[in-house]
Amino acid sequence: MSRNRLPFPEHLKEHLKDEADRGSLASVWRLLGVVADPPASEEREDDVDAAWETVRQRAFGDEVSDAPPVTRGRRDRSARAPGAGPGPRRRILFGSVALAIILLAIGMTVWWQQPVTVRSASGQQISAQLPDGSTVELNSGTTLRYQRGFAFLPGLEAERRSVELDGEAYFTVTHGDRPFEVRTFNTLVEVLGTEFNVRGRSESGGATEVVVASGSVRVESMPTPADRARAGEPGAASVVLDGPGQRSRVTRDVEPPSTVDVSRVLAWRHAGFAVTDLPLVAIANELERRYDLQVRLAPSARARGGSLSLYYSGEVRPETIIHDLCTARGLSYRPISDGYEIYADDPADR
Amino acid sequence: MNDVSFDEWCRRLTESDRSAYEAVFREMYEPLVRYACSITKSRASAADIVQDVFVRLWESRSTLDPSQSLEAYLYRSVRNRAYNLHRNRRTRSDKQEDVQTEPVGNLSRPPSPDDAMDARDLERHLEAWIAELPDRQREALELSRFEGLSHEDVAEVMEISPRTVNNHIVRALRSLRERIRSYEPSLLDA
Repeated sequence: MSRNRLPFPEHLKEHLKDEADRGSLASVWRLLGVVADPPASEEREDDVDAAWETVRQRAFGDEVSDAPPVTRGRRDRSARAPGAGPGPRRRILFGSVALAIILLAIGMTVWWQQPVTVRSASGQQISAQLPDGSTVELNSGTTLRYQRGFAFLPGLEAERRSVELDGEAYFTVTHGDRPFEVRTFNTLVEVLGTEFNVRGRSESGGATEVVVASGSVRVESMPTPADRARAGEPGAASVVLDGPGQRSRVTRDVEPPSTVDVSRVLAWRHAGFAVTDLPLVAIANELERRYDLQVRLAPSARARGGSLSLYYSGEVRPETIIHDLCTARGLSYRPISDGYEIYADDPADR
Repeated sequence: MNDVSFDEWCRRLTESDRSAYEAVFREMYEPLVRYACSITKSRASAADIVQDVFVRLWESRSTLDPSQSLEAYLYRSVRNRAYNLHRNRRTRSDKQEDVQTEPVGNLSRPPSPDDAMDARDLERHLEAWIAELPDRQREALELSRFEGLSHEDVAEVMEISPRTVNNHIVRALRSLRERIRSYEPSLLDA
């Protein structure tokens, strides 16, 4: 670590025209070496070791060999000397019972640490309860994962209540002293206790959208490699949504809060259907996922382009939606074996 | 710093290489805590912030891009958190007090023999003068002179242009030069 000997940077030299000026500033730069060299004291090394232990446990929570109960069991076994038992038969029994317990402990640890996965299929909407009493409703085609019990092991709670989401879900989070967080492919939503909707799918052109129904959340972007490769100044990294209808969308940057109609965004929870300003292809995807059917777009329909908004506040049949969509866009539709096909009434398609 | 290769470590992180993660941690923990401390003025909260950043680094390892600067990413993450949490708490008067009472990492020299007393004295003065610099100048100087970040990385961490980084550093150096001249002009003749 010889930072105290960093040379005066070239880019600064170029910046300074006057030689005397440059010379004296270079002297200042060198003098700063007095400040720049932190000795590696023992105290600091202990700090780093202790900090590493903490970070390692938090980051690698799923590593079996670090779990205290299992390690203790292993040590006991090796410490038990062969000649120490009351008699051969009893000793063997004791040995095998201990082995069974250790194996059971390992088995349980491994089982415990498998993340819990909750998945809704196309056409399905389900509710689930999370280990802290929070509830989550999943819209169709959504996967939710979380650490069982929000803990590494029974009794060894994780520091945060954390779930991973691919899809769309509505969260009702119980108040607790541990922060609750939702991670999508590119966003981190942090809350204390509130109700909000998160929609994040990494399909092409994907974004994560967060809308608050009540309470407040902090939305932070977690840039994907594609985001980081894009040139330009990075935008806002996080935003706080603190009231009903507050909404932000995260692509590469976190959009500043805007206000939306909460009932539209949450129409899906009442078996309704809503899309805002979506292109036809995206609407077709939504319909497929929501109603578990094929929605094929003929090239003529695809070529039409344009975006559309639709809102059904209650239960609605997919055919109704498709019918309305076609009316709005001057298209036609016909049933096919497992769904519908949308086309433009164009002789070339027949 | 010849044995360090952030690009290599970053690539290994994306492959979930735990030894690379530990290596990055051990290399960067102290510098990042020192840097966070310059913003938070509290080593305890600086340590918390840096640990959170590292845990997050591991959790998002599959999304890292080895062609981007891992170093800048770490500094920027620390910076954002430090400013978010402590923006309201810092006032100029606090800064000066804390420099004397709560040593930042780079102050822990053991007692030195007589002829090196001047160096220690100079060090304390420089630290105090640096702490009195306007925030952006101090930060640009800190990142470039003390943390050794490249000038592109400083720009990325501070979210400003490289030219502005230069301006801040030059102004900081000029302020310090004036201070040194009033204190002991001969120091600048070296």
